[in-house]
Amino acid sequence: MTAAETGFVLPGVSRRGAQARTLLVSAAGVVLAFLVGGLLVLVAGGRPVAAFRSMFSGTLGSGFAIGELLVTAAPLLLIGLGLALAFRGRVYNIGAEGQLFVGALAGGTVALELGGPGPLLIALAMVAGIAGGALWASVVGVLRARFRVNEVISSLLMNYVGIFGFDYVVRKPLGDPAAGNALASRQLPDETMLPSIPHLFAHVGIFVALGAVPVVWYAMRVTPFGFRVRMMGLNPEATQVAGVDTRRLIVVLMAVSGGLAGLAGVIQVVGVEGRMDGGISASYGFTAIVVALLGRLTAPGVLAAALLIAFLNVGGQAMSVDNGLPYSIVLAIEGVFVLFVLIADRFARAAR
Amino acid sequence: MRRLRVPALLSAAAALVVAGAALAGSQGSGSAQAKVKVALVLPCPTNDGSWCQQAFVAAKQLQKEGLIDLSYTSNAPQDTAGASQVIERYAANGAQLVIADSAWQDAAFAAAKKFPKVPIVYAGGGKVGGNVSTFEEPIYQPAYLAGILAAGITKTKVVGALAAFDIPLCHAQAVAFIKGAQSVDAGIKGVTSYVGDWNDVAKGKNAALALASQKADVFTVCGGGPASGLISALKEKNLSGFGYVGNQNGLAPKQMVGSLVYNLYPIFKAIVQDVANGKYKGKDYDLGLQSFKLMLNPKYSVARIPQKSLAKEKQVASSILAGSFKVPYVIK
Amino acid sequence: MNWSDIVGLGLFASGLQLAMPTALAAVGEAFSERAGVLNLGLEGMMLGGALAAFAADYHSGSAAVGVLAGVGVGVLLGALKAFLSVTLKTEQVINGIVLVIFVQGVTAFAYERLFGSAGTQPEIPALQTVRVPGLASVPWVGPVVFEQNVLFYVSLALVPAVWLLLQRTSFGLAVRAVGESPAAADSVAVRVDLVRWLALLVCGAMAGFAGAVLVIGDVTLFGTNVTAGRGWVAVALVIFGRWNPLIVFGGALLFGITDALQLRIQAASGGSNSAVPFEVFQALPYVLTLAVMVLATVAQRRSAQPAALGIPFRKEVIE
Repeated sequence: MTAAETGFVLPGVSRRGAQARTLLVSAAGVVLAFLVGGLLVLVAGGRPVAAFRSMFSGTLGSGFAIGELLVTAAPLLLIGLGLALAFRGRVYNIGAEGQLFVGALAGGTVALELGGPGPLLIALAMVAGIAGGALWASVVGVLRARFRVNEVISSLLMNYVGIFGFDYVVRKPLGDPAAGNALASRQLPDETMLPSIPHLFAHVGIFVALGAVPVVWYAMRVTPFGFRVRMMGLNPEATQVAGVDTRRLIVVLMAVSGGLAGLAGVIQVVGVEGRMDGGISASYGFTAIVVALLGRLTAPGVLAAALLIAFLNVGGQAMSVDNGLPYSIVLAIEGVFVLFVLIADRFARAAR
Repeated sequence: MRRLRVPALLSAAAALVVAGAALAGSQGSGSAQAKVKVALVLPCPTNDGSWCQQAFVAAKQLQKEGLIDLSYTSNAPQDTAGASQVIERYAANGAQLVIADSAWQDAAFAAAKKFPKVPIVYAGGGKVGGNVSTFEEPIYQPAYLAGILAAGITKTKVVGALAAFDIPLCHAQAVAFIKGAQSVDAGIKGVTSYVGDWNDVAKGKNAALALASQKADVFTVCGGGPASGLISALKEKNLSGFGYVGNQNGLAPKQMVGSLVYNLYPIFKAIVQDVANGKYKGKDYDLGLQSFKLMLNPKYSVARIPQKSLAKEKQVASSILAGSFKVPYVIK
Repeated sequence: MNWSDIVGLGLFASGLQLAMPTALAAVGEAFSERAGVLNLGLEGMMLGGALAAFAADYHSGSAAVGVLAGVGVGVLLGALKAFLSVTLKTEQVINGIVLVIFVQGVTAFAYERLFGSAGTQPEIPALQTVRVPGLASVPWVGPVVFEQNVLFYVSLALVPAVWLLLQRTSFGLAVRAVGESPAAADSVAVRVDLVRWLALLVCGAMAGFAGAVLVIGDVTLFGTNVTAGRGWVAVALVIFGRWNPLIVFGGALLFGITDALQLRIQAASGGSNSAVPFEVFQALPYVLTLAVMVLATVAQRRSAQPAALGIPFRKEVIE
């Protein structure tokens, strides 16, 4: 996957006319998305204006709705940031879903099995989750760095392996017979759950995700590390000639992106789920690939993209509930929106 | 000077907000009625021939009888955050009862934290409390009866249990099926296999063939995809099996001994009446064999089922209903 | 554990059946990637083809009409992917993933609308098994390969056909050229975007056909996400097979047979209470594919990846 279209655009001189055109193209894209989406609502027997009104009220209409938006955006944001960093260095980690589950397993086990004061346990769980995700991803990194094994295939295959492992642990050793009808671990003690933010009804893990944005931005744009990553992305041979240990850098990039995916997994466990089970992820590891690329592999871009996808997800649920629309058609509408944003982004870039 | 740029996406976001402001307004509110406003949340399509279809049909029946005002979401997101958001949205919209038809225990309790006064019911058994209830899906009970019949049908003395995942429901069903067969003939062996996917029909079919290679010739199955796969395998190898949740007898008339059919109508009715009468509180609705029946297939050559087996099945079924016999419930 | 029950002819018959849809889609993907377009929409194309094939077969009563409909929808989705990737030149990874989400939504919606919620599940008749005279009596190979339905034989023939198309025709040469060096191809008057469009149509047709083979040739029922992730495995297998349709096909067979094998080991080993957790068996096809991949990569130094994979072609470079 050597997608060169992944945002390696050198900043040019911006002109006012180009900026205006960019805005125009973007607006046209959004209008078209609403039109085609509205058509799908009509096909499904709904009323487009009411449907889209639900989308906004369900995401921005109250503190409660904003909380849901942020909780959904948090894992996408964390994973997306890591992937953006890795993709910058042309390390194509497609295994974030598996890394999320392995991280959740490591962190969740710590929270469940180690006794101690709550805040300490949460902190340890997060460290364990980062370590778990990072280690799992490093295998892919080492395979590529040492043996040149294509990381797309190895990380994709390791998703399945990681999730089967997760399934085993929550089925047998940590399984809860009283968990109802699901493969689920025992419930975490209350004190290991992240506190909730008043009015938003959202866990404080969203601050961890939001806080990662400037950190990743700084690492990518300002530090020598970020410079090496971008250099490797543009020209790996030259980077090596310049004395950078690219093998090590590949492993590091896998570990960092895997660690952030693992952290996202732990936050789902201690913030949303309260135990380890399959409900912690709505394919966040895959959706985050879209988030990273749509955000043009920049930290603020990933933030915007994560919010956009979360807006479509949460707003789509409200649209479905309020208007009696099957959630399937909402998925299709989400797809239409992302495609039009993508097309608008593409033309806006060409317009500059 | 390097400058960050995400103008397209940011301006798209800006356009979205502008559009939102233009659309913003009050939400439609429903009129108050004597009927209970029920919201049904389904993780699958209303015509999956399985769990969701049975729930949908039962709710539609209540609607037809004028007992409820029904709104529903099919193909709902299955992760906890998504499912709880859907439940919460219904609660916020004034639903008087939300039936979340999946093993959404965590989602139900998460939603109940924000809407403690709204009755929320999830499927499959588990923890109850406050206004959160659950209803049982006791497929293991008719599976035991199916096992009794299987013992009379099997020629190889091996019966097979096929499942998507080793969740408690599937586990208990498999164990009860095998124990039912062994209650007739202790020499019968049970073999099991797990597909690892709820939707994968082709893999389910081949898992059934794998069990057949271990000589199994009568089957029970757990999971929609594997159930469809089993039907295909039964027809291909002319083996016998039992349908899953919906009445699948017609899909393989010559090979289906019967189906383990789930009827949610009495369960939903009991819950709705509790809500209507103001008697609702969090509890475990369990109608046992009254809700999950073994429905025999008249087209399956009955001559292949020994009279003795049919008689024993009838007798055990009545003692289960009378409460004098409890089907073993093994989930681990 | 009785290994003769596990590793019998049935294992290979089962493995072939499991492998075929994945193999067809993977061969199609190899074609598109050789032209330089990464198609992550494969899973969606298979699923769309599967529903179209099922619905057309169900309503017309003809398997041939069903297969045509499946291929048709595959081609249509291939055209959509080509429009997004080649004409509009939008980011290929995103438009592929989003295509899958879109098709998953549309198929679930359409299935619910096309087949109402009354009565039993709709199904289509299974295809007849056709014994190939003579060949079917060849020991070992005969019962596995030559006692199948007609879609299986068509599938088997399509794989070398696609390989020939890629390696032995001038169109194939153009495909490989635009995948390796579009600028060079352009300089000798190859219409890069047109060739890529056509390659995606071929890929869509193969994926749609794969969906049709799955529902008409194998399971005879449709359900939500009936393709169950085969498209993603197929994408992995293209890399595994070093973009060569024949090796890709071999990889799919390896994966399918290992999957059939693990189901049989599970069945023989005592289910959920076996000493070895059954998740270990379930992971076997993925682990084995990865292991073979690592060994193969160590043995070969050169990368076989088309140089222009994922990069849109622009005649005048703007940036």
